[in-house]
Amino acid sequence: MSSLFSLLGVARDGMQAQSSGVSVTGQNIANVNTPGYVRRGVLLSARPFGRDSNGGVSVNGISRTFSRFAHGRVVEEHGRRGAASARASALSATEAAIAPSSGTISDRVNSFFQSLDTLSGAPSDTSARLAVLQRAGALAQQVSTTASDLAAQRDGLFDQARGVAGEVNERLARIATLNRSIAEATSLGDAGADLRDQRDQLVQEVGDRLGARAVEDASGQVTLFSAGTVLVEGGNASSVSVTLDPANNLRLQVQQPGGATTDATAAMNQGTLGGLREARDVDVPSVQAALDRFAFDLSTAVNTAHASGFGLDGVTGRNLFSAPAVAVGAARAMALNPALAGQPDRVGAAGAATDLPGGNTVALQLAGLSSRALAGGTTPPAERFGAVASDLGVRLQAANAEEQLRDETVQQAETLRESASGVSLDEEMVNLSKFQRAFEASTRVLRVADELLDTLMKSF
Amino acid sequence: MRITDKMALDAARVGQSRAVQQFTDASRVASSGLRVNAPSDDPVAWSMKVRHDAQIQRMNNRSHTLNRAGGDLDLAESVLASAGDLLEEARSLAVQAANGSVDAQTRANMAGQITSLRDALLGFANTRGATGYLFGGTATATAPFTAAGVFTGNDTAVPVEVADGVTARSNASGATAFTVAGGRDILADLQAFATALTGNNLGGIQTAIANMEAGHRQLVTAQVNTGIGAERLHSSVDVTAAALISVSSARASETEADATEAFTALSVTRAGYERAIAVTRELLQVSSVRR
Repeated sequence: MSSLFSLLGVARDGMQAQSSGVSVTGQNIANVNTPGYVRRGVLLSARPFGRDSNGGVSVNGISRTFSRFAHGRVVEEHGRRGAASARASALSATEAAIAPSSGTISDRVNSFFQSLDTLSGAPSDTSARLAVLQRAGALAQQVSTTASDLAAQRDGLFDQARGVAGEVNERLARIATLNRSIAEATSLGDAGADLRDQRDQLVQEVGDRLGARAVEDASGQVTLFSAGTVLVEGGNASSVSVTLDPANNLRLQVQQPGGATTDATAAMNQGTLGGLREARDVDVPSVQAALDRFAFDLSTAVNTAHASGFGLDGVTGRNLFSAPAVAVGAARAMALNPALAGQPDRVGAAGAATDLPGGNTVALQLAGLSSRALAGGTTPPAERFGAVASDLGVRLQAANAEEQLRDETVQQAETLRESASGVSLDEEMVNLSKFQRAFEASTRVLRVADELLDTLMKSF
Repeated sequence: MRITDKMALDAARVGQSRAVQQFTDASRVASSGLRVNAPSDDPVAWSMKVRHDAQIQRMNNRSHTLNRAGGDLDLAESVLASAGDLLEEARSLAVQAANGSVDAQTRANMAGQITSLRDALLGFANTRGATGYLFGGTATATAPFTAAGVFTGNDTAVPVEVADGVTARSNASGATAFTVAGGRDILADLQAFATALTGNNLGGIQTAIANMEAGHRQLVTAQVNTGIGAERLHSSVDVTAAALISVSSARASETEADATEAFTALSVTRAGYERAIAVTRELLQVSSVRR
């Protein structure tokens, strides 16, 4: 049988338990917008009613409603979205370089051939000859500048990748530290909920940048797998570094805590780093190669025709553009032949010295290149460049579509996780009222017990 | 499924973000009038646009060149007509001078007229057009006939493209119009005629009648050929202009936005955007926290 005194203990337990409930509810409300926060719940249990117990309530701890499965999906989808976003962003910059809103290479090509058309109609006209040199120079400069922009973009993507690697390392170190702290807390009987929140948020951030998968052990520590290797195991973190291989492609190396280094480049296909690699080492080089081929074929075709022409000075055999030896690097090296700069008389328009100055057969041949397929392709120069830009457009369109898809899958995964672990203010408000009412009731119990004791004592 | 505030607001945020993106895209299309602004908007249409731009540029260039060359041929035709008139006048003088009643003094006076006609014809033969001397072949920078009537030019044709890979002659042939390459050396014939008149050489004068007639026919033939050439160039300009309209139309249909569609899309996306904002506002207002 319980005594009146034990009723005071029941009231006390009730007030303490409901206070804990209010406190946990307050924590949930306070962290409703905290990234990575997992809602908490107070774990209450009834004290058994018996000789040694008053039948009240006890607080057994704080629960953390975490879904490892839902969180794993979020991390996985973030990795995929990170790759898609980084690639789309990089390709947008490439598109801006290749196809600016005005003054594209195809515009310059058209302008160049327009000057040759004019020259074919007025081969002895100095202003027409100067226009050819000016437009040829402008075309060459535009191609060269675009090639330089693409090379600079690759350099920029490399710098960006190194920066991302630094961010990954910083997070790996923090995850390892938190792993240790969680293990210590767990050994002391504390769930370490706050520490787990922070760590799981960091895991997601690593996933964003490199893709990640975490496996938790009994001590609460996670082993983090990424890029085909282990990046964090217990309290030990590896470090990643991004360098360039001899072929100027990104290389991802992982240095294990013991000092061993492994090459994880082949598995670098997720997260921001994966997207940067795809854009930098696959997409942009493809555009560069096509631009080089375009520049090489155009220069060669123009030079071949021009070299057969005679300048007003009676000399033949001159190139209009500096002759590229090979296609690789031809775009960046494209330039007007310095021997012709400022020398309109040296433009070869006539097919024979005896045709000077009004002979125009070579000028006509040069102008005709605008409608003839370049060697190494099936389309004329402007269309050939259009195909380069169009191919890039297809890549960017696909990247944008992939990014949109990944946005949606991330949204779905986050919804799943949020449904399990997120804070609902509606629920918390109900809980707040529930604990408040219970607390009030416990104080009423206390008052009743007090009154009963008072009555009892006055009866003697 | 358990729904949290964050889920509801995230869904609203995503919806609003998409709505504003669609509204921005529709605004860009409506304001620029262009459906394709970058390769990624529509890679195939972009490729077609580049092709059409190149074709339009080529056609514009061709029209310009043909007009310029056609203008020179028109001028050459006109000059040859005037030259023919001169020869006709010289032939009339030759017929008059061949009359036995004309005395030596009159013939000497006629020689002065013939010399003037010859000088005028020399001036015609050395006419300059937009691309240089009209009758010198490719030697366009210097007068093709010297004061003595010697032809220093050539008969090289200057081609001009009238269609892809098809060329036509864009210059008149001074050699066949004025020199023995066309049958008679007209300037030399006029010189010989003047000499015959000065020398009161009746036989030479009678020869001049035939020579003037032959020279006239020669100039008329050259004039007709030049006119045919000019007409061909003008026809090509017309054909090019028609093709230009067709290609420009194709380019517009590939890359330009339909105004009705663009403004309808703008209205629809604006309504969607406003709806998304309204939904977000509702979500923010409905909360048990305020109760």
